[in-house]
Amino acid sequence: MSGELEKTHPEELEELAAGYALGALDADDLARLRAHLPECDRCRTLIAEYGSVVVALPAELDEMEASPELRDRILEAAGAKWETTPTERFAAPFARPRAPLWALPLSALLAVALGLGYWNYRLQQQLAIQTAVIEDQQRALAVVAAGGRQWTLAGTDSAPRAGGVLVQAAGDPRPFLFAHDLPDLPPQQMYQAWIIAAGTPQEAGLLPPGQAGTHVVRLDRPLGSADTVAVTIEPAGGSRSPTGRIVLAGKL
Amino acid sequence: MALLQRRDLQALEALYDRHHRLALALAYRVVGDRDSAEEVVQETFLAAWRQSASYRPDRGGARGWLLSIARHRAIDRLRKARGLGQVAELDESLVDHRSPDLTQLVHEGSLRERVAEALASLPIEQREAIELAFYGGPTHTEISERTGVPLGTVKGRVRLALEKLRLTLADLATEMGGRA
Repeated sequence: MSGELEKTHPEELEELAAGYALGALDADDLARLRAHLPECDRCRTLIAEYGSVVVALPAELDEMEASPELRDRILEAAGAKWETTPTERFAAPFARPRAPLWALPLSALLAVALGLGYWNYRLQQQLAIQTAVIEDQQRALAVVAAGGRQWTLAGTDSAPRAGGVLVQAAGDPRPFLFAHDLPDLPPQQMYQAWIIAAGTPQEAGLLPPGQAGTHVVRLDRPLGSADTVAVTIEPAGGSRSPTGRIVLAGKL
Repeated sequence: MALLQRRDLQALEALYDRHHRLALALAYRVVGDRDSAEEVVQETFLAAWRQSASYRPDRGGARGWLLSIARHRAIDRLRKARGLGQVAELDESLVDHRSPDLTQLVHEGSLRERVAEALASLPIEQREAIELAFYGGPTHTEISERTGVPLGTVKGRVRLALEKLRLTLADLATEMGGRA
């Protein structure tokens, strides 16, 4: 703890804890709190308790009825996201690849496939794990097996061991992203993919929780004129524009 | 939530039917117009659908989880519309999540009543400070600039308000926890 903070503790730090719970901290105060928290159980507990209060605050509001269309829009969008074609649904997850499949980039794809193989095995052993995640994995592997355009993504300094491959099936504008060796995140954070065209990022989907650092997701939007795909760490629910560290990036 | 995690659309329907009214009220209070608020609610439930596997019941109830997403999305939208940057967040691994979730512990009607009472008991300047921070999404400095109140006073008011609410609602949690 810095000498300055030592002198001002606890009141000033309690102000920072309260500000953090409300999302009201300025960047310099956030940096001070971040430096202080690892060694202060009191502040960590206080943030959680303030957070519990903050979550309860909307209870005072008068509830509002939404338009009937909103419910339909949400359910339609959710259903569409998980709709699969018969071919994809029943594609064998480990179909033998044709020769051109591994031509590019061999080491990355092999690493991902091995990781997914292990992941798939583990998933089959754990009945409680979501079947939808398995289906997405199977669909992604089917796309890999069928060949298609591929691009590699490299881990940044924030995740130097991580890597990824973007695979796009012929006739499908929305590619699958395979990411491996991403560090585990706390539950309040997610990995989020971005499609970037001329420096402008567009959100492209949240990566579902993976196993052993391996994640598979079909991006939410077509690549279009994008020149870069990247993955960042974002708060739960994702962000409308990137706020966290970049962990993976690749040029298209 | 377990059914939602298995991608059961009926679970999403049930979650929506139970919680969308308060999510919409929260989003409306933040963004100030109904169309934008409904867009926020749509983003919220789709985000919950996509990331349901990351939901951790040991860290709070579904209602609180959804409302946190809704607030984050609504404030994000508001700040963007005003040309303000996003507020950075901490690595959540630094935070202790063992605090009780009042939205789960307390009956909704009782919680509404007690939160309203607790807010009403605050001095007006503290209540205004915490409501501006919660529903407006500004930083301490932005609150100070907007209200003309010195920065140190803003920080103090926000802390005092939250501390009083914490003590009041902790009593409620203990009371309800004791009955459970």
